[in-house]
Amino acid sequence: MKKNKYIEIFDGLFKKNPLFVSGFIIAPVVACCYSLKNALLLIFVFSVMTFLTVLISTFIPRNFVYTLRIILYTAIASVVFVPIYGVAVQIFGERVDTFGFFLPLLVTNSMISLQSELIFYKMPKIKMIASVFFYIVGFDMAVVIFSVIRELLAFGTIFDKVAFTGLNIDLFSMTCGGFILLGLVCGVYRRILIFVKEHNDIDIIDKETALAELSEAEDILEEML
Amino acid sequence: MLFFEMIIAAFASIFTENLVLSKGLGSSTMIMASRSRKQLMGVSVCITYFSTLCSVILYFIGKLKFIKFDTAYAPMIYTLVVGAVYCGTLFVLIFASPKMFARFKNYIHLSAFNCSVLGCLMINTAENETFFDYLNFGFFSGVGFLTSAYMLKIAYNRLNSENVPLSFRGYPAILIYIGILSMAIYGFVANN
Repeated sequence: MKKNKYIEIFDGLFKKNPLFVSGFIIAPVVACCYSLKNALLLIFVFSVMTFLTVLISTFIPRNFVYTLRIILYTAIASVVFVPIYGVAVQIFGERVDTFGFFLPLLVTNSMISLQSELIFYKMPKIKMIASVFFYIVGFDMAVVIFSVIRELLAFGTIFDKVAFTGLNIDLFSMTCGGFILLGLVCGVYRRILIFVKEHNDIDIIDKETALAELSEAEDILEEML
Repeated sequence: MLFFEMIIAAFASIFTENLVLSKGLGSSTMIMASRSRKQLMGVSVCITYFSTLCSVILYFIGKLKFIKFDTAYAPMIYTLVVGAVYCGTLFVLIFASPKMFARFKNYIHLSAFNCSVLGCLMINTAENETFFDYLNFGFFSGVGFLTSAYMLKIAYNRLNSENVPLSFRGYPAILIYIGILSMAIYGFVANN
């Protein structure tokens, strides 16, 4: 029983990874994360803003209607975004401009508007903080892995330093290439998860069952409807 | 002339500047909405409604001299506008048509604070100037969402079928499919 609790807290890292499994916050990743430096900027703004917003939002009384709560969540995120944006400009300089409106758009990310309601606020506070933390770290890890592969394929570089000369597939630096590469990486990630499940979890009988269990994570949005 | 301009702007918003396919905005909502035709219509109608109405309101707010759409502060203005429209809509629906409220309630919750609505508003304030441009872009970017969601709906069952390798079934295959659609749009733009 105790083990299950830990599994729930760490879910966001692997089993229900926000990017690779649940499919949240896709837009800034496919549009802007074509280099590791861009990925670090996204990670900084997303992580700090989401963590602070979810934390502050716990003080909103639960007896407020959902309509009001969701407006307040987004309003809090908008306020928190102001100083974070200032710090990001100081740290990352002109790189912030390459994101255009994708950084301000993070105020409506699914982890603030959806997952907070469906997962986080149903947990006890300490457990919730740990869970939010690991969901964010899970997203960050996924973005780093994706960006490294993408930068390598698109420009033949890692962190703007040449790793392979001659490797330059322009497609992957574009949004369409971002979608395709993210799909491929998600497929490989899912294969690894199924493999691990098959070998570690005695409840999983075959690959189909493993896939069905993974798909549960994709149904978070469906719960809303 | 106005009609001709409107056709061109509509075509651009639906295809060449489609928010989902060219910028990835609202892709997770689109993936969810494409599961059934009913959801697809509900979410698309609500997104179109919000993007159109909020664009119109934002046009008039933009006319106020003391308001500047600075990157850091802009989300607050957008949140206030969308929040006001969201509350107003629910209020009107509850009292005017409870039946319609029951039908659209969940779609409204999901559509109001959505990447594609906010993205549409941000592009509108950054690129457009006239009332007509705001209205046109707001409405047709919602129609663009419907178009891309419908294109995904057509293939949705096949992408989830047993013919697709297990690891790629569902979400990964859908992403690759959206990528190919997006590439087609890009090719079209590049050729022009």
